[in-house]
Amino acid sequence: MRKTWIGILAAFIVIAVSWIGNISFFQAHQLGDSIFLEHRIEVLNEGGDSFFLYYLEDAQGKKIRTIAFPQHPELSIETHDAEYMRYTRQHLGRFLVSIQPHSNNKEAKMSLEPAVIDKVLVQYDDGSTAEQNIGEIRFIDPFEHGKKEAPISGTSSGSSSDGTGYGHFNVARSAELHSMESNYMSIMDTIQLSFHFDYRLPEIRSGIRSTGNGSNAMNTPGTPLEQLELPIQLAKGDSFYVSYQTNPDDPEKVFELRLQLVFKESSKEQWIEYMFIGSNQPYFTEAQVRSLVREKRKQP
Amino acid sequence: MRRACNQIFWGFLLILIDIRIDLLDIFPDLLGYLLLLTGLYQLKRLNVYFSIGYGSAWALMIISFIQFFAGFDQQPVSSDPLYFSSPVNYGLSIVPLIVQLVFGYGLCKGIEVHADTLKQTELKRAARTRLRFYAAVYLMWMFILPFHLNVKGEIMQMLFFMFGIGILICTLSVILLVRAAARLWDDKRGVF
Repeated sequence: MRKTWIGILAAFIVIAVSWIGNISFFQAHQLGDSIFLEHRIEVLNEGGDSFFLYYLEDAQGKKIRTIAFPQHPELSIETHDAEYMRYTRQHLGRFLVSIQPHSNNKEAKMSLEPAVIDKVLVQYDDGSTAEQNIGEIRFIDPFEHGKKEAPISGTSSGSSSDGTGYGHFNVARSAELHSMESNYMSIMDTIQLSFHFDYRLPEIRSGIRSTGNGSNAMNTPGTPLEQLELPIQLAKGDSFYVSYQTNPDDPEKVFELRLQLVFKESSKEQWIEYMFIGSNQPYFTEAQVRSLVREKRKQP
Repeated sequence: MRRACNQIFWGFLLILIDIRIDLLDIFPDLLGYLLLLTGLYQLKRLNVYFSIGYGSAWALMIISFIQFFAGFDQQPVSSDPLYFSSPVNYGLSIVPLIVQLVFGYGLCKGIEVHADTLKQTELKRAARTRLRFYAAVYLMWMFILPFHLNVKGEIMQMLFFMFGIGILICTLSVILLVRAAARLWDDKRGVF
């Protein structure tokens, strides 16, 4: 009889340890408030363009209900996926935000000032609100082509889950590629840009490597941006690729760039073509989420 | 005593079976608890263990009301079926388990002791075996449950399913024990 009671007592001690241990461990791995990932987004200031905002929050507890941009009524939430990725104690959620088409009203167009957004107003399911840092969203006024046809035009683009992508361009009139720019060139250390002339090029230009196979541009090393001697003269009938390689092992950096390819014609007329460069959709491992939570908890 | 045991049998069964048409439970738990309490009230004079069962049945009924009206864990803001609102609320979920364990102990031990008094060795042995089974399942479940906080949802959902079946089987075994006691304690000619 005594042995039975000792056994029961031991069982309850083990159960108590299990509960206390699990609850303590759980609480030590809670974020508390949700956090948005560090975004670097360039978005064209025209109706229809859109971008994703990603955030991490505890799976149990206070949840983000919605977000708002009080100074930017043109921005509207298209979709909210609160459990885009599920982890043991946290969820990765995301909002798809789009720019509503401008009205003809000039005042409406002006309201996208300031041109950079770094905070968002978050509304939680318990009724509370808070302002949160999101990194940067920068609005770019799109280049107005007018009625005249541009000398260079994008024909196709693509990207892959391994972090590579490309844009393909045709040259309708001779022009020179003057520069390739982004407001976030500083983060280009995680993006490798390369320039390739297409296989249709009638002759291989000196100093610039041909891909040899246009369809394989994403996997073929072209001329890295830093080795490229700009400006490059482009002749009518040329076509070229710009390919990129982002670091897929760095999910905390979420960026969507609109690379601006600046061309000049002999008439000194300037043209800009845009090329989308996006990071992979963030995919964290459980260990990366734990590490993020630890870093967040260390912050005062 | 047969009547008391039958009341416990049907009461326990009504609580266990939870068939709903829309939101209406066609076997209301309240009726089950009333039958259970009536039966145990009659048996509690036999030994102290039935008194323990009687007291814990009251506690279970009160907990059931609290869960029904207030809800320990009812904030359906997530698609996660194991969602809970806070660790404190989660901690409270062990209370009904402990009371259910005590209830099963009181009932089985009460039957075992009374069967011993009546020299019904088979019933006594059956009561002891089922109490061990019942206690083992509940103790393991109480140990496993908090791992839900830190173990990936899919694994816990599988464990919840397995232990759900385990608890159903061990509870049914106790219900059938009560049924067997009802037969034996009525005319002592029944076969267990």
